[in-house]
Amino acid sequence: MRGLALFRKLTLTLVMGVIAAAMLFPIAVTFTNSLMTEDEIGYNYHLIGKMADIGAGEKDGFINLKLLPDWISFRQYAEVLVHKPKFLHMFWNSVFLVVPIIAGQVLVASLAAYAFAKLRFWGREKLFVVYLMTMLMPFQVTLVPNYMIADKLGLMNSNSAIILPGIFSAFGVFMLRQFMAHIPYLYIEAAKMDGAGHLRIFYRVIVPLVKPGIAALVVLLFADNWNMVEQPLIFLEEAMKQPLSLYLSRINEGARGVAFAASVVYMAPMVMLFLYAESYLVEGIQLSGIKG
Amino acid sequence: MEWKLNEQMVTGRQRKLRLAASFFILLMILFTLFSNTLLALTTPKAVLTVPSRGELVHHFTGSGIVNRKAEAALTNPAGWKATKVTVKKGDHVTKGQSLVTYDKQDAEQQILDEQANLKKLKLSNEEQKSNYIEAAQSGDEQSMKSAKRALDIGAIDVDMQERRIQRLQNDLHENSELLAPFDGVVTEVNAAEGLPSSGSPDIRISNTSLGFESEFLVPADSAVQLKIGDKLKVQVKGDEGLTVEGQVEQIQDGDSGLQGSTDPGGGAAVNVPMKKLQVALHDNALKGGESVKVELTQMTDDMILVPNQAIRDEGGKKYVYGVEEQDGPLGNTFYVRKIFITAADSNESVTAVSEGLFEQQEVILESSEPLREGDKIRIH
Repeated sequence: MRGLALFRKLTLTLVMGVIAAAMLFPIAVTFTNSLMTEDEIGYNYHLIGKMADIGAGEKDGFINLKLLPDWISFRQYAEVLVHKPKFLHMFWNSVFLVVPIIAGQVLVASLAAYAFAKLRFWGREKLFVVYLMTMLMPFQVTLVPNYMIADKLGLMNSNSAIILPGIFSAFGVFMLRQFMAHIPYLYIEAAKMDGAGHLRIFYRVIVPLVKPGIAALVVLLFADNWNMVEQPLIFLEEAMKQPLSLYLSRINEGARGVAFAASVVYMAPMVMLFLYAESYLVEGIQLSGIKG
Repeated sequence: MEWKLNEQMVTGRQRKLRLAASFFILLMILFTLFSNTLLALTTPKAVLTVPSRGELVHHFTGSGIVNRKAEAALTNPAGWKATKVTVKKGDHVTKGQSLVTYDKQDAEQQILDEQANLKKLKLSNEEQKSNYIEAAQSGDEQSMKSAKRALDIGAIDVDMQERRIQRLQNDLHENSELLAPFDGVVTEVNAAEGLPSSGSPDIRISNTSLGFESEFLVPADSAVQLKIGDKLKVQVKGDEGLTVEGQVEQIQDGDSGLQGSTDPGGGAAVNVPMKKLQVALHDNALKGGESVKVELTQMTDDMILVPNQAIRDEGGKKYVYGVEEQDGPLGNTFYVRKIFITAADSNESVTAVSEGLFEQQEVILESSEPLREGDKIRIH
């Protein structure tokens, strides 16, 4: 009986290990390839993006995925960070899009979630359902009205066209409401007895208690907005305003040599944020029962 | 307890991550601020030029020396010692002016000697005459004839002697002084007081009324449009801005010469047929002896013109560096590409390219560092 449990555990570990390795593999390839020279990458992946010329003796189908560089070179990083000023420009474009969205949404969503979770008013549940419905609809559905509104407001080709819809998203409200729902009403009662108003209760009682939830929201929002492609593609026509996520969607033959280093730099903020808030994220997802 | 340990571990890791994140952000800020500086340090900057289509103009400069048209070398044929030189180089003289006076003592002495000889002859003639009278009185036919012959010979000798004296006197008159044959300028003085003539002309004198002339050797190609009577602008070297007008008087075939002076750096010197131009100059400002030059232009067909600076050479094959632009999501990158060309002709500033380039194709004029094919460059 005990042997069976051990066997089951081992099998599970093995399966999970394989899945984890499969998921980590692209990241490992990206990182190790970022230390190769442009020539080496060109040699390894010369078949990407074109048909194999079988007549000339090229073999169709397989590409030599190389994990270890012949020698370690930081040439790609130098190329990306020094020779391509546009990369840094796009990096900061991303930062200036994502930070206001996160800050705004955390502020707006936490207040709204407080209202939905702890204030009793008429039509609360119905309103919340309407709220949830906007969340259930994919971005593409609301794209046309979004576009028209942005156009009417004269926000086209400006960051606000992306930041404003990003701030007022239902996702944060829903997630933080789930967190706040778990806070016993007694805490609020006690604060009220001490003479605290709603703002003080929110700031002194609720926020400290939903810190893990806010952290999880920040990570999820960051991942979501750092990787957004459609919104900037549609709302930002000017190439110099577009974020880094669009660059990765446009890697082509010409820029293949630096794509790996660019990807590593692109990933870095997200990975660091994730590792930093990992425990909150797990806790948050467990509590709210959702994931991004 | 276990929970607390876990908490400590978490905060320890978070502290490291916070440090890493700060470092990352700082790095990105630094690169943002200084990448341009780093780029300037690592990538050569190139200046581009766009070749134009046009005619290649050859400027040719021919040099010459201004000379008087008519010049006379005056010499004392008798080779007498000069006693007085009254002119120096550059002096303006008028016709008949005395230039050099010579020592005539020897000649005068000789004339006196000859005159004494003449007297002697005349005396001996008198004697012959009286001999003849004696012979006539004696009636001796034979002696009378011989006396008559001696008398005739004596008369011939007297004539000869008289002519010789006349000639010596003429010589004395002519050679005692060197006179200017025309209005002119003394260009050379070789006579020195106290010394006899040294073989070279004592005085050289140029005629001012006939003007100047100069000879230029120019490539036949550039002289093709010239004909006798054409006016040319002739620049006087050294004399700032002085330009005189010349007129072509003669065009002759000259020796082949090396055409090197026209194209410094462009093309190997080639043997080209030359023409000798004789140009008459009329200008009061000229003195003679000045270095002068003429500029001739020669046009070639309509071709693509590239500045010589952009033309490079590799074992005799000429090429230019062009620019290849590679588009990428992160902006365009410019690479150096070698383009071999055929240079048809060149002058001191541009080269006419017949093959390899097309109009409006940018080429690199100069760069901050030596370039090689495939180098990445910045363009300004």
